Amino acid sequence: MSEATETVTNISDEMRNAIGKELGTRTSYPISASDIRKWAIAVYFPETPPDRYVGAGGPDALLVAPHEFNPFAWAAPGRKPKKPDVTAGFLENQMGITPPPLKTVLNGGTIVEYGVPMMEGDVITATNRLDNYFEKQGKRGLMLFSSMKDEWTNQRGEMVKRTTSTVIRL
Amino acid sequence: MDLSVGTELPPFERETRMENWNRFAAVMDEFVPHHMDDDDGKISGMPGAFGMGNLQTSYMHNLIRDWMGKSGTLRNFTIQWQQPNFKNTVVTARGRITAVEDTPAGKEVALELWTEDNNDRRLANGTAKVIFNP
Repeated sequence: MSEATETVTNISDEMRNAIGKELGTRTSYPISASDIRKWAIAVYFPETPPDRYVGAGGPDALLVAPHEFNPFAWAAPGRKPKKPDVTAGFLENQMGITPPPLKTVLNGGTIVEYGVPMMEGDVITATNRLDNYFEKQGKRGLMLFSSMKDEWTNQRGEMVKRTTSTVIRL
Repeated sequence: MDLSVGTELPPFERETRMENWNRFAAVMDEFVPHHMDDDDGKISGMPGAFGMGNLQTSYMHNLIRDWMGKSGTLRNFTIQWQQPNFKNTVVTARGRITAVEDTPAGKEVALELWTEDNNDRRLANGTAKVIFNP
């Protein structure tokens, strides 16, 4: 007879009660033409990006940002740079609750719904929430899936994108 | 443009090395040691430094944008990363049409997407939906 006990769940009541909780809101600096150009140059390197990203249409034409452009890279108003939490408990640490006793983190993928494009001059506000916890049995044991929803809107309140990101912990 | 099921998108291809990754780290603030230094990549269990998953996301978006031009609107996108992008490999983003549906907003085209390297390794899988205005 084996004395090993199988873990029934790693989702505590405290974690279950946190589902839907806001993880944070951030607002970007206004997106500059230079930010858009540099992003496009980086992701199309070594080829030249399409004209709409580099302002070849003329100095009065507002640039549109590539869909996956990140206006929160490097800095956002009122946010002090801090070392990212790369531990397996990063999510619960953010909420001030006890993390599950798991050590390995894998990226489970991303789902994005796009709204209006980001343009030069736009200010983007993002609200991030804990969407769900669920578990599945895998080859390496019980896997904990944690999904987060991040909604971005522009200064007119228009939806820019909704992203659901999933991490797998085991 | 041929919008029939099974049509393949013109591939988007890049040789990948520090030149690409440094530029992407600079715009994304993604100076993670295992993307920047071979020794740190080895500590992570890889043969050396490896590329950012987010750059695979950009390559898939470039593939879609180059194909749809100004007549299409990207509505949604998914990605699941499979394996790391190793240094000095050629990464190709590919896609094919899996479904086409007439909707009130226009013709909705569903895509299967993936990135692969020149060693036949699948790096990421994805999907997208693009609307072409009537």
